[in-house]
Amino acid sequence: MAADIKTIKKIADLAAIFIEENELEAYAAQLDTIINYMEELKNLDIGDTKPMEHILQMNNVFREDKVTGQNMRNELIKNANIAKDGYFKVPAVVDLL
Amino acid sequence: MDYDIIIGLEIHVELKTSSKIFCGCSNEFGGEPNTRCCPICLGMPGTLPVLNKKVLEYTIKAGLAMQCKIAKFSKFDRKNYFYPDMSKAYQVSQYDLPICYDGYVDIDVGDKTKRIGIERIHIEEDAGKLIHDSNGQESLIDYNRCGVPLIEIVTRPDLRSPEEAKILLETIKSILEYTEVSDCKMQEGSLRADVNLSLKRKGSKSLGVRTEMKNINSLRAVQRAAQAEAERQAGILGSGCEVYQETRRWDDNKGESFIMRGKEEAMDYRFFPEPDLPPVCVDEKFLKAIQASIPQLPRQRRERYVNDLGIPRYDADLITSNKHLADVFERASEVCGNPKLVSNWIMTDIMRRINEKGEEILNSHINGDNLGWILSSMERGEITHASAIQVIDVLIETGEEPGNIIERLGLKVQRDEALVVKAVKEVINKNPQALSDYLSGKEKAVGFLMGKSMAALKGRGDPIQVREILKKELQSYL
Repeated sequence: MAADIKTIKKIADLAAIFIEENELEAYAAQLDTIINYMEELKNLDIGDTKPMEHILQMNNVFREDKVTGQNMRNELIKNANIAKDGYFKVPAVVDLL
Repeated sequence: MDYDIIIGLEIHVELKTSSKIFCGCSNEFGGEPNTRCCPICLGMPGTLPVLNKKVLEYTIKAGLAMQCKIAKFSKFDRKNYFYPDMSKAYQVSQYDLPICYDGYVDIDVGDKTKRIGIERIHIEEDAGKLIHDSNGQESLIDYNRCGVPLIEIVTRPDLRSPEEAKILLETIKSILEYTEVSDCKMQEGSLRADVNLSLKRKGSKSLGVRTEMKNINSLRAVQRAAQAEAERQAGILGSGCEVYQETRRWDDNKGESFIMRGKEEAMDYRFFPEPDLPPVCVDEKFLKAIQASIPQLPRQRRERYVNDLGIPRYDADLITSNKHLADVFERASEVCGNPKLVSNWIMTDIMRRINEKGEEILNSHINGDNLGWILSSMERGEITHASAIQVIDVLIETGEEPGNIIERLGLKVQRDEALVVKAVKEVINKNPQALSDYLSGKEKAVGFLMGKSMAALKGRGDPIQVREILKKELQSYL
């Protein structure tokens, strides 16, 4: 199996998704099917295909270095669950740096 | 110690553009919390980041100044992590195709030159700032720093001592200042370094386990942190134990580091190409224009000052350590035509005032043009040395034009012979003791009377003329 229960737990952890213990096996089976499907790509002959580095077939979209922004704190804070003195407020977190 | 110290640095530098990396918010430091951010900074659904062209230019400029190759094709990637300093849960960075790679920086260690490899320089965005409540219940977030353009410079593990690490950081800082891509204010966090360090048993081929120390923000702290970590690892290895691969935090007040996370908790960032930003293709024309905008860098300038202008190496080192100072020196030398004189003044009177008043005086009031003008006035004998110092002090205080200062304070050297003779005679009459000393052969008395005469002329006499007249007057008593 390409994706076992341990893998599902790790992915769920990284993605900050909560999965019930009794659901783990089902997800593992589903992900396993997907990974195995991807394995089929290995059988393709891609000798003449150029590697695709990016999905967008365009490049060099830039903006000039001009300040156009202005203070919109009230609107931004409006969306927050809790705010204090102009700051967004969250439960205490440890430093990650 | 029976170990070689192996150090590599990761250096984060905030670029001094006017606006942020992907939006038009101001890139100024500070500001009231959350007043310099917008839905793009916060990664609201439906927003579209667009790359600031200046960020690309500055990154390439820094890369070229560090002899890097510039990728013809480069792209952005998402570095995924959950932490509230970045509300969109990923940082836009570059993973496998950085814009600059494979360069080097030469550093001076003692009287030797050492080449340190630059593995890559990539573009990324800075994160917001967290303020932790003292009671440990809540954290407050300011997103003003979110989206501030950063470059990360990754060196090869070519450094062999804490001192070399400090010198490299210093050298890179001055390159970034000369190319004017960053103001490099370490106290404001616009330049910060991570230290990667491992020990290798002398003679052994295999590298030891390395640790990483995060976010060190002074030159001195880099050296101290590296020294302490080398000693910590040597202690562990010396007692027969193993060094663990871990991320540590340096506490510069305590002078020691603390573990932040071990190998098991190592971050898995699941990089993937950023779908909102198209790739970047750099052509020759663009590169050439940037190359042409790179000024002569500190090392080259220093060599030119020593070899072509005859400036002592120590002086040239100090002058080139600061681009503003070097610019003032060059312009003033052009104006007054005497680089050695300018260098002497910078090393003494100008440096003393910079130390007292701060570097800002170079940008605001003292520049190459007015310093050069003051020194050439002095060289032509129009003002005295003491007056030149006085003009500089007034200039720093008021920003007044030096010509006006001289006029207003009457600092022009007094050469009217009748006036000088009158002043000298009065001095001799008022100091009979000095006169009798002179007459009894005490040459010292001449110096005393000379000082009194200059004072009588309010420091504006031409010393050579005053001395001549004084001698003549004294001889008349013999």
